[in-house]
Amino acid sequence: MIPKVTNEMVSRGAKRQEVSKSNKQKEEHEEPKVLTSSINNRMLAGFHRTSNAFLEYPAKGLKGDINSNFYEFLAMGRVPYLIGSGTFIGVFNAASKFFDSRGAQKSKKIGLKLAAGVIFYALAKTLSKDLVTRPVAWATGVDIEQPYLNVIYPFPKVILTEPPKPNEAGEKGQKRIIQDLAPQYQYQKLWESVEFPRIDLVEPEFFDKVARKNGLGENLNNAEGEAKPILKNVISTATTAQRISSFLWAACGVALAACGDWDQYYDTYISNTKLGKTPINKDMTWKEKLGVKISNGYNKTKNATLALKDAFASSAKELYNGAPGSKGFKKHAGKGLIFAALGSTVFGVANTIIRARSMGKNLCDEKVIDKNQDSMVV
Amino acid sequence: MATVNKIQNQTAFTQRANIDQNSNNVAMEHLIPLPRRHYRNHNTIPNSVNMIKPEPGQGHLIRGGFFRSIGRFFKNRVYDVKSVYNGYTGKANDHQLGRTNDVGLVLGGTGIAAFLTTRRVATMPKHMEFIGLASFLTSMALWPKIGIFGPARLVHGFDADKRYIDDQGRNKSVFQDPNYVPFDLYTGRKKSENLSAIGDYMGIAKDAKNRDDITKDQMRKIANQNHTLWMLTSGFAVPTLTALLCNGFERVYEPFIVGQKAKKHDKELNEMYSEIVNGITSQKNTHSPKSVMKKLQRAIKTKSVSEKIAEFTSVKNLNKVLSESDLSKLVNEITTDAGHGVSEALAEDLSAILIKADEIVVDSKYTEDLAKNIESKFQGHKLLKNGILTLDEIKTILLEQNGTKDSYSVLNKNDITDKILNGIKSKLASSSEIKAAGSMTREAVLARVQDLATTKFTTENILPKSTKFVMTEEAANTINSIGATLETYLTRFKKLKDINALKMGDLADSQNAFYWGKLEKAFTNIIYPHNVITSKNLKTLIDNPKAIEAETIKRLESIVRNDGDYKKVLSEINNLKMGYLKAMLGDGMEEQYTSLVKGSSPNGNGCWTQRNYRTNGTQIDKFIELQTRIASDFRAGIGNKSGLFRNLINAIAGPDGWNYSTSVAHLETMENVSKVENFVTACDRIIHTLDLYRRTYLFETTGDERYLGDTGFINKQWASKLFKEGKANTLSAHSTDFFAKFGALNKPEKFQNYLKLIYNRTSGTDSLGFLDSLTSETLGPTSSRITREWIDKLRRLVGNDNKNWQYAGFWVDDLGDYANEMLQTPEARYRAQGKSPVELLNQGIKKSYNSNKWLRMFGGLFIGVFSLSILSQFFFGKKDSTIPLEKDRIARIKKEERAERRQNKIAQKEAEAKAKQIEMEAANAN
Repeated sequence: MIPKVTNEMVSRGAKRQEVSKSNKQKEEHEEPKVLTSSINNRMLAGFHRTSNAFLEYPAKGLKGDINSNFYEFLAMGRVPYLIGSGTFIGVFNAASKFFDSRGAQKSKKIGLKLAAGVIFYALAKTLSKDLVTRPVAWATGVDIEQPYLNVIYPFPKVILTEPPKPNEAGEKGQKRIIQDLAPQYQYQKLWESVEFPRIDLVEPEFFDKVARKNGLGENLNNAEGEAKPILKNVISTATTAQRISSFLWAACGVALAACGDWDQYYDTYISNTKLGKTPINKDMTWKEKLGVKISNGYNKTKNATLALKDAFASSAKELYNGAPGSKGFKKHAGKGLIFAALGSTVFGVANTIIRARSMGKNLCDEKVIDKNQDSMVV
Repeated sequence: MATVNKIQNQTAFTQRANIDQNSNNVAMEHLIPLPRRHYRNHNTIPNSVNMIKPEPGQGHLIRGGFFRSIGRFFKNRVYDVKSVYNGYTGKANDHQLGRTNDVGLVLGGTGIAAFLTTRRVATMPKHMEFIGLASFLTSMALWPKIGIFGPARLVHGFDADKRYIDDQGRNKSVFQDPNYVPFDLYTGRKKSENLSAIGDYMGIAKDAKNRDDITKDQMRKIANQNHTLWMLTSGFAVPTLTALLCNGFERVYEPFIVGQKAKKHDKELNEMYSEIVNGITSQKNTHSPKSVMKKLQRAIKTKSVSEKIAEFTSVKNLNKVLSESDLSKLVNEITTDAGHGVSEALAEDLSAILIKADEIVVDSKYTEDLAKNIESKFQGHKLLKNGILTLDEIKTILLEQNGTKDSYSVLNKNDITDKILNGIKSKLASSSEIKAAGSMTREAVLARVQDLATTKFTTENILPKSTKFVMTEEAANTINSIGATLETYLTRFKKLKDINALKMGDLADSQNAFYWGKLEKAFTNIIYPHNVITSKNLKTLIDNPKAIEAETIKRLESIVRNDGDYKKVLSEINNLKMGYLKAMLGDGMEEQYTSLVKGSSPNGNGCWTQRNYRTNGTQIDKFIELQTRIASDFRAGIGNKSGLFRNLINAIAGPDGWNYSTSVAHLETMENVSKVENFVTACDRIIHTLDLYRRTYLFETTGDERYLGDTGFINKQWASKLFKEGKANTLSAHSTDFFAKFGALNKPEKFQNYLKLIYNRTSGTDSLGFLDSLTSETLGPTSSRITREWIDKLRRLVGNDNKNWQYAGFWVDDLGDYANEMLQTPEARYRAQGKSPVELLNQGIKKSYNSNKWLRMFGGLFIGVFSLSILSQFFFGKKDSTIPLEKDRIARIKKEERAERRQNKIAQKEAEAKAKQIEMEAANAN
């Protein structure tokens, strides 16, 4: 079954695709390409995935497009995260403006604190991933965040030239034009799957590096074969470490927002917009006005940043030391949470590296065959 | 060996590949026997018995069933844990790696909930943190079921969220990856797994070519659409559903928690009572998990009170100079939550023990301060100006008195000033300038110095305030001696306070707070039920007492018109009042309330003791007795040192015989009693208000004078007028309001009449406030007596407020034989009036409005998203023109049948015509 699109149904988007298709046809067949694991590339990949998850993939999915695929479904997984965060903030905050003034003030403060919790959750979760992946990449040579640009050639689109009209025999015969669609790009990660790692995309030097870093030795005859088990092991251990620890760091983020004196920060720098502003006179020239505006903005940002630093410091202190006057579990809960996150990160990284190294060592220690030799005497 | 095999295998593989490449002409069959020829040579079905075949597939679709799904839930959780283990050991597959994400989510969520409980004080919010997490996880699971796939199943006839177990036993979603849908698992064993039945539901023509393929494509498309819808709606639906679930659950859970805490309170209070008062120690299971937890807590707990005192008085501090901050640190540490005034009293006693009132610890720092003081006093004086006496010289004089630089001495204040003066004198005497001067001048200078000493050089003027103490051995022993006693008292006090807080505390889940919330809500719902007032109107009433008063008067007037309504409303408030009393005083102890708040008689010294509040057998009585007992135990424990710890004993137990009312024992008791009184009075005030409205209504409709009570001389016109004022006052007035309102000094008679009418009392033996017969009947004897006593009390308060009336030399109402001491203090007067109904309504309206607004907003959002996703189903799975439809087929068949019938009819007609013709022909022939 190939879905059919009548003339009327051909959207402007599809027409545009047609045009781009005709250009693309002339080009050569594109191959997936590996990208460097720079922050730039990873951000680009994230942006591509997120923007398409909001703009393109839902449109395809809602139509039930045959070219919708699992990648798109997974990419759309971040839609509920982002909208949900917003809704959570909304649940805590949006109703407050309808409350009476005192109730509104009180609920706004609580709401802002909870909103900060949501934001810190997301920030801590995203940023903490590097705590695992960077050391692992450095020590084992496997960067599980390594992106590559995948190219997908979708099923062709079928366009009917004539509106369907049953012929005399009652059959609905139509003339079709089958048109190739523009290739789709997906930013995927090389080592996202432990069962199907994209080893076909990496250069042989990659395996030499992995073998060398994990103690298998250099100039191996079959570096790929030797290093592949280590690669798979690292994917499994590092991914698990990253997943578990990032949620614990996210928990620390929420806890941080719950601690300390954020109220003052909100009061002074968020709700009070007029603070420390030089008033603008009507008599000023536009240049002077601009200057005052810029300096106002600069001052506000500067003060807010400084205050943010203080608020951070005070809440981090409180998170670690417990609320003043608290005892026992209450006093040590924050510390425990931080150590749990830190512990899971250190354990995860150490576990990954030690396992990879010991695999390399074990393979090397089986000195039945010297892998650096072309032949051996039995 | 493994490596050798591996290499050998590789070699074999390479060899074979080489052969394949190099020998194009060599047929493969020569190297590897292939079964193809075998097949080709047989015309019959080959005998497959000896051939290697794949195992039959183990994969299958998951079927519903409640118990099965519970079993599967636990199986999946075990699988999750195993996934994490495999992940960390490097053995996980992709599916297991996916599961680690969910485990992380739950782990992080639990961490958040556990941490946030430490930021909450009450039990209820603590539990709500975990309930919130559970609601979130539930909403995530529930939303796709009720919002997406449930409706999809109804509309399209199949489960787009169908899951299956694959050959490796992994639980997966059938339609998750549109490019790989295991349709072969739809074996048709059940209707929901039967493609043909699903095709029927979808209305695909029964005679369609490749019908199952069309069905599959439709299923794939619809599932894809629904999965997308799921992702798009979850962001809105899950948080709102979470909030709604939490909100709903909280309403059910709160009474449960409050009840549990109340039970715990009763149990622990009884245990403590029998332990301390009756001397029976209950057998406690020390091996219970709770005590293990306590032991653990003790392990990380800080030192006990006696340990802290012992440390303070240890060798470390012996004969050392201590500062005030050392002392206040100790005091603050051991007396947190010890009750009002205890830490101040302890600090006072300890400092008196450590140093006598007229003594001062003089050390180098003190010398320095003193020298500076002297310098400032002598500022500009000749002695300093002329360099006769320098600052250093003053210091030297002082140090000479006080020994070496690092040591200290304890000196009498007067001694210090004397010594300094003498030092200065001798210095002057030995100064060369003075010596050189004549004796007259010398005497003049000395006289000048003497003069200075009496004016500027007094002890108060010159000596800096000392904040230093010295821990002598005697002081250490004295302080140490009360360590154990103080610890016992503080531990008992804290325990009693904790127990008390379970029921009487201010936290939202204590019974006291819970009943207030209930009263507020019930009364607001009576006056402003949701079907009567719109949210918009409700908003205009917030923080607007005048508007609330006006609106409430209207509502109450309509309620009292109907006997049924009136009784219903009255009994609702009454049930809360009596329920509260039952909860606070104990079952069957409600009667005791009046003696609890009234008190009996003053003690020997004319002062009121805590015994005034005692009512035998009630929970509060037990509390009072325990409170008194632990305080008197403390006093007894101090023994012969009581003179030294006078302030502390006064603060905790009160000095014997007088001024007991400032002690901790008394204040704690007072607090409990006033809490009970506050609530009951608020209820009584509502009841009285309702009764007044009722009486007014009955009086105005019937004109019957009985409704005026025992005020026969009030004329009817006056009565109507006064009733009107009373109706407004009972709702919102405070005691000072009456004075102002009536301009009572000018119109005492009017006010007198007013009191008689509104706070009436019946004549005869029972001289308490008047209630209408229906009201008394509805309230029952106990409650109505409590209300009437309150009305009587309020009449006295309003009519005889010392503050407002005594200077007028005129008391409106005859108080009879006693002035109620319970109304002496402003607090007592305030309490006796109760919270005004309008205040109560104002808070109730705020809460009602806020929670309604919130609920409507997010309930609305949820319902909106829900309806949108249901509506979407009707746009999903649209069949294009190439799909043959069952309805078309049926229409076609019907059309054909019609055509056939028409044909038959025509044929029949023709036949009939023919027969007729033949007949006619035959007739003609005849």
